[in-house]
Amino acid sequence: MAGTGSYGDACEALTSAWMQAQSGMQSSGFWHTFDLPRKEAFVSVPRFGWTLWFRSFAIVTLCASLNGCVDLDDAAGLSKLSDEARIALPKVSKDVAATCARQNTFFENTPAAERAKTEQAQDCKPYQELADHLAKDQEALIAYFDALGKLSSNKPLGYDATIDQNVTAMSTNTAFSANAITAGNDAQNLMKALADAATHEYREKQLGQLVIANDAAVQSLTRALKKVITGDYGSVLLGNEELSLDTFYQGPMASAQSNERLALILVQRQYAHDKAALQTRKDAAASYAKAMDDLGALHAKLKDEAGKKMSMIEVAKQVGPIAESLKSALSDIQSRSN
Amino acid sequence: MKKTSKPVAAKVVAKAVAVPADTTLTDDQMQALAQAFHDIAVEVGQVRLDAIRAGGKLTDPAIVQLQGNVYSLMTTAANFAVQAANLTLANADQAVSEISLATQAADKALNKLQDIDKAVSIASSVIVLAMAISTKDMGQIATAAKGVVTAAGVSV
Repeated sequence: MAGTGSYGDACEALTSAWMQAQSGMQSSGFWHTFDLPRKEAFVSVPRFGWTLWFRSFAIVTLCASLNGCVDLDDAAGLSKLSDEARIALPKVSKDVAATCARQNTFFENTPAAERAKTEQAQDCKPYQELADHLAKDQEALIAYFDALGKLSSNKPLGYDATIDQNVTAMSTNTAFSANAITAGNDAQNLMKALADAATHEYREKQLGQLVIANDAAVQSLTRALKKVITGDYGSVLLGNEELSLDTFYQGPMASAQSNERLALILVQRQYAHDKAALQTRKDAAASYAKAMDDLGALHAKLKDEAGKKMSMIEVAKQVGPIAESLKSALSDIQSRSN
Repeated sequence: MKKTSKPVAAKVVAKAVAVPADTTLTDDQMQALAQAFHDIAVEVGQVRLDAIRAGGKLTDPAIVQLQGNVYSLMTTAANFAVQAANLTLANADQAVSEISLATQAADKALNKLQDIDKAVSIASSVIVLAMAISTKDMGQIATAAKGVVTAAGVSV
């Protein structure tokens, strides 16, 4: 990974030198003198000990401020973004099933005399299956970004044991739209890559390879998820819900009698409320699409930086705006669904 | 309610293929079909609403029939969007081209249509087309597509 080459190594070496200096002073009995009153301590520390300590401290501080002994997780905020994505994205994918239930509510609340006898409520099972499928795919994507952050900061992955199960559980349902199938295949590839990373104990220096190897799958997965959410869900399914909503309210409103004025006002308010709620869902779908664009762009940028062996400060500068944009999109989804 | 799709024909390239081969529709083609059926549902819904505003009752048979057509068309659109993606048609491009021409003719004819019976006839023919698509039989699809164009009475 970028920034973990010579500059990162230098930082690591300096940090280690500082630690050694600390332990050297401790073992020499110098460190305990800090427990003494300041003046006494100052007097009791031999001059060469202070010099060594100050030099080491200055070098490490300089290193931290210039290089930013930062890892990829600090630079791009991957773990934090993953946590936010884990809360925000399912709010949209779950609604793929919920829209069917809402449409059926409109259908079932329409008086029998006003609807064709042959018509039935929709079967929501395929919607639920698609929602579940999307949830697994986006979880694979989030887990991948989370793992990048954790691997770069040497934090334990924490879910190694479940990765294999997730890969096995991600059976591809060929009845779904091609984009959903593509997303499933890409998600499987990412999960396999994570399993591999966990098995082979990938760490900082190998992250670059991991990012480069999985960029195609990440790009394909983010594109496919975006298409399903904006096209299948946002345009067609929510479009259908809007038509159900309009059909449910507008007919009775148009045929309301003049003596039903007050009742009409109440219904108009309810209609406006439901329309606003629907618009919020459409906006959330748009934010989801933006989040997918940003995740793809973020990964592409990391891949670029991986090839250049740049410092983490530079990486942070490059990915910062994308990470901010992603954070904003996730925050939009959350605020809309509250 | 708003129609959001681009004309289906814009996404479809009709090709004259001598030997038809089984082809799975692309995702763009499936989504365009889903959108086309959704758009027709919107038009039929508008005809129904206009009829109600013109004094028709919610329980009038023709208005009830339009209501049923709206739901059938929406269900078709949703099926295309959600689960029917692996639809394999012999000579898919040609099939999609014929379907799209038919749905455009229906869409155009339904726009601002005040003749409720004609709207029922067009909507019903589009539902027949949807059923024909599910059979994956090119002959049935071609016949149903012609049926839509005839019911619409317009060419695209």
